[in-house]
Amino acid sequence: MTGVISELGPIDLFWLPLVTVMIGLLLVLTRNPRFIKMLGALLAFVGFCFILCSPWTLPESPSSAFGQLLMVIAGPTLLIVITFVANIMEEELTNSKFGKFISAFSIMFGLLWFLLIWAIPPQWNNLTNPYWLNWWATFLLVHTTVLCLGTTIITKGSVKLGLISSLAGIILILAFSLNGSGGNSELEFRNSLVTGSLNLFGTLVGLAIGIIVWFKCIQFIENKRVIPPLMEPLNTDELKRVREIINSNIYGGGIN
Amino acid sequence: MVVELSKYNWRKGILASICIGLSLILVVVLIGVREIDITHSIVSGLISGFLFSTSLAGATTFWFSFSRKQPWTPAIISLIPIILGIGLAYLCYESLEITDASHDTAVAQGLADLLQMISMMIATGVAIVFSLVMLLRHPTTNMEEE
Repeated sequence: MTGVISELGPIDLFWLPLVTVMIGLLLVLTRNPRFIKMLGALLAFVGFCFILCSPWTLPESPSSAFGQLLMVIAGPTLLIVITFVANIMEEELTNSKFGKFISAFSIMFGLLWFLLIWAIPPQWNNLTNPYWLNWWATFLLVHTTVLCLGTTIITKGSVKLGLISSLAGIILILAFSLNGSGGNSELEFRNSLVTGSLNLFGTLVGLAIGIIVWFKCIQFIENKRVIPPLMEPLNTDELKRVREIINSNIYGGGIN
Repeated sequence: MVVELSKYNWRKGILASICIGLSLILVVVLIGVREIDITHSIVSGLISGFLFSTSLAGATTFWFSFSRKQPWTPAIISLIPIILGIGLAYLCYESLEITDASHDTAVAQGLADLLQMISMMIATGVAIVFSLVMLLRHPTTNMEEE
């Protein structure tokens, strides 16, 4: 709290906004009234802006490298999401000329933007951003494996394009492993790929264990709750009265 | 001859993608990597993932208790996994001495690993969306005549 009052530091300018983004997303994604959802979106947006600005507000803090990574990937990611929405989720937009134009434009510029980032990796304190190479290697690996899964299970879609892209992913990973990726050496890319995949495996296991532990805790406490005693069966007079009320509601009291 | 390029076969698909992923990693390891701290990579992801999911689930429980006037007991109980996770993180980072050159304390290392985990999740999410765009871009039937 002293940090908050005396001088703005990483807690106020990075970690607090990160928590705000999480809370905002939580409010948006859970079932809430419209006003609360809008408030959540606003919170997430403001927090996200703070994180994006961290390379300027906290140039010395190691956390700002994460802000820089987000800033770098936000643009192409947004373009890919626009393509996803325009081409797949919104059926009316998919069939319109405008939708086709928007999706073609977005996917083309999104890919070009990623290519540009790959060619000129983001620099942080005169070195390549520590999160970038892991991000890039994980992205390629997951993209390749998901395409491989997708081409096997889907029944409608561009299977040929998926197969070609999956093959292209494998070739890209092998090429980067032998010749280096962008401004990074081949050894750095290989290390990032292996570290990233191990980290991703640990993360998925951790997420699953976390949810199971939380569920078990809630289940335990819910099972401990005292069940209210069951109501005694109705006697003849009460049954008669209930029948009268039902008859009056359904038949207007005509049938007894 | 009708060639069925794809079918509803989740098991086959998952097996194929795992095989492709593992083969790629194996090939990369065989090409040669620098000394990798496997324990650090897995444990940092595991603890970050555990803390992330329990914190979000706990926050959701708190929000539901507050906004829907539900009993507070589940919200308080949901703190237990978070405390457990923090204790586990402290134990692992201290006992396994998981720190690299750029972070001198376990807390700094833990926070950096949390950011690493979030960036991995973003990479996974973007890769999945991008793959879906590739796969579903021009919907056509997959039953093709050879």
